[in-house]
Amino acid sequence: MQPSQVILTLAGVIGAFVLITTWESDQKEETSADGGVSAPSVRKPSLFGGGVTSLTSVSGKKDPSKLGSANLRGYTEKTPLMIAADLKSYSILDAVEGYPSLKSNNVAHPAAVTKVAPITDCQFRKPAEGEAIANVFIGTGSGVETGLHVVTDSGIAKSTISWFAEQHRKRTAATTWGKHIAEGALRKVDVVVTDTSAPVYLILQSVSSRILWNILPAEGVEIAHIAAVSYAPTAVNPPTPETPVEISNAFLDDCAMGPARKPADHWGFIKNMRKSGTDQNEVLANIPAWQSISSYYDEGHYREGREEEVILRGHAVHERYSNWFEERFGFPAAQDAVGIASVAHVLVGPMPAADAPKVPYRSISGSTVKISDFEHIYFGPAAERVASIAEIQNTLARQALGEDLTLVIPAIVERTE
Amino acid sequence: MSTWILRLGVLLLFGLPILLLNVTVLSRADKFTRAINGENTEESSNALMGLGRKIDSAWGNHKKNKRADAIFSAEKFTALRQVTYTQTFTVDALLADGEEAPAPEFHELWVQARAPKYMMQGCDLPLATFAQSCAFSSIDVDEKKDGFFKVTAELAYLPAYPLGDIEGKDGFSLETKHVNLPIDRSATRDIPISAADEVELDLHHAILEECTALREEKGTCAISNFQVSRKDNGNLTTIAASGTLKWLNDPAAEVTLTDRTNYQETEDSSRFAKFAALKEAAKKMMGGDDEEKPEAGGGIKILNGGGAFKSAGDGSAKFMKPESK
Repeated sequence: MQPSQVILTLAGVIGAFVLITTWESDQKEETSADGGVSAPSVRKPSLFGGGVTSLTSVSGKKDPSKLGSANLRGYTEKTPLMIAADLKSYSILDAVEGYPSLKSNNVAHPAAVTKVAPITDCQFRKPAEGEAIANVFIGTGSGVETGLHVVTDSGIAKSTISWFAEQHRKRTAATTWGKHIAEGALRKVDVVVTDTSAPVYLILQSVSSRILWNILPAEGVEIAHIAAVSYAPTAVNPPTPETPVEISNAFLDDCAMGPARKPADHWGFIKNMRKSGTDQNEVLANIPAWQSISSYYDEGHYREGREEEVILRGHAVHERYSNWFEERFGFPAAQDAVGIASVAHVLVGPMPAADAPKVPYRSISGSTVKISDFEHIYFGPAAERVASIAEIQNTLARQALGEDLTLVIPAIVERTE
Repeated sequence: MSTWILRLGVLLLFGLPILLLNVTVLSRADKFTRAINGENTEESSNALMGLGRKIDSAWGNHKKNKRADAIFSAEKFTALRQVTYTQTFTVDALLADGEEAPAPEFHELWVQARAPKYMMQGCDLPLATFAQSCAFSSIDVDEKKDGFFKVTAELAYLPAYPLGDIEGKDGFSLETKHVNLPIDRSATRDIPISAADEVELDLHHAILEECTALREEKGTCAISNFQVSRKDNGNLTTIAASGTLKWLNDPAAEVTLTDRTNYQETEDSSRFAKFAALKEAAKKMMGGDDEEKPEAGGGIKILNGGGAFKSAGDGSAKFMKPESK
């Protein structure tokens, strides 16, 4: 036996031993002094069987004034990081008074919802003379889940299909839905508004996630109008019941009203393209004429290994969306926009000074939120929401089976001679 | 003290498997090293590598034996012995008389829910030929254009035919033979649709005959998978089938390519020859004539379908370009 083989073999045994002896001390959770954010619990570097790993030890809190590394479509950050203009970032805890504990597992739900007819003619109200426009543009929301649940018929169908597929795989006919309950809880994204220079026309653009925009105005801020543009179910917790809110939640091909973010140099996709030496112009020249985003995805263009085309397509899609946006609001969609790929808190206006009063927090609990109309909207404790959706899926499953639940797994057929 | 007992216990639980895994992997590396150095690969470099070989071999045999036990157990359904049945239809095919179709967003759900029962019709021909019982195993629903869904069902079956004697064949290897039917594919090409059911039944009989012949020769045979494909074209249809037969082989015996496939030009036209007259009648009724006529000049024959050219000369070249006229 070669020495290297002996070493490799022993490495496995030693690795297991080290893992065991370091296990106890790794399980202690770090707690922060302010009782708020806790640093991630990271296991000490360890040897694993068959080789050496290079895990890096991480300790202490992440500095909210610094963004992490950009992902394929830009920066993705979680609470308490709050993004502001020019990619500056702060902690939401330094700007907002009475912010709930970030460690709390309580899911807040509104007391009531007011349904708003979604914009279907591309005609958001134009900003008026004298209004200050605040432009927020994010990819998805990474905030906490709320107790506001929006489910579409197609979402319910998809979940029920996955339940059937699992019963077929397991050859059972379960009476519970387990993980196959249609998802749809909206995530909260706080919008802290501190600009008091003029009545604010707030434009909230988001690409694909289900967002409940929670508006937190500083004292003296007047929100004149809120326009929320998205593909997905969207709700707004306005500062007052009288604040006008307009919402779109579907792509409208006629005007290309479907937010698409402009690819930026720091995106991983773009960096990868440059690293691989791909000629963007050459790829762009080979892309067929613009088509709607929905048909583009339906036709299966997006797949592994086609990132360059997707990004360049993204440029084209963004341009078309932005053209509509400019026609409607008077400036390009990404101009002076506050936002990154994924974030939980956004700051519009200056960061409050350290000695100035903080912006008061407004909880979702007990609020009345505005939401565009959908097939199924639920709010309340999780158990109640899940029960309501399960009942719909039960009814649908029975109808799909023609009221014969024994058909989930058909009976065995025997030869009849 | 108890902490050390705990550590020792965990070490045995995790460390020992890692040690055995490393020894097994190293024994494979040892075998490879011996092979590239021209040494005898049946032997090991040392006792530790020999132990690794034994663990590797035991694990491999265990998996193979489990598969063989499942396939050659006539009393239990297994995913290793089933027929594949494919149909393309709209949701309307699944509705009861007078029942309204659901909204379009629910079509796929209706198909997913009702297709298992609907696809059990794929058991009819196996039950009429080689299956004693037939059970739903799985389905795959693939949405196509214009409201159509292509549904593929796997239907497990218990055999109505003898699988052969597997007593005392623990160390035997599980072999596979692929069979395409009919061997003369033209026999079931462009036949009248009215004859399709009879052709499909004959194909089921044919796979059973292939399996019976294999069992008589090798001692065991199971139809591991069988599927019939059908392509309609107006009043005509083209039907073909493919099957996978499994059998147990003595490790000492040699397995040839013929044992694994039906590449040999076995005559099976007798079963399907009866469709020749039907084909001719159907072609004439459709106004067609599939007789290949020699071209003027006689040197080159363009095959049906175009694009491929075959030398009709001395056969020295497989493919050649047509002569310019």
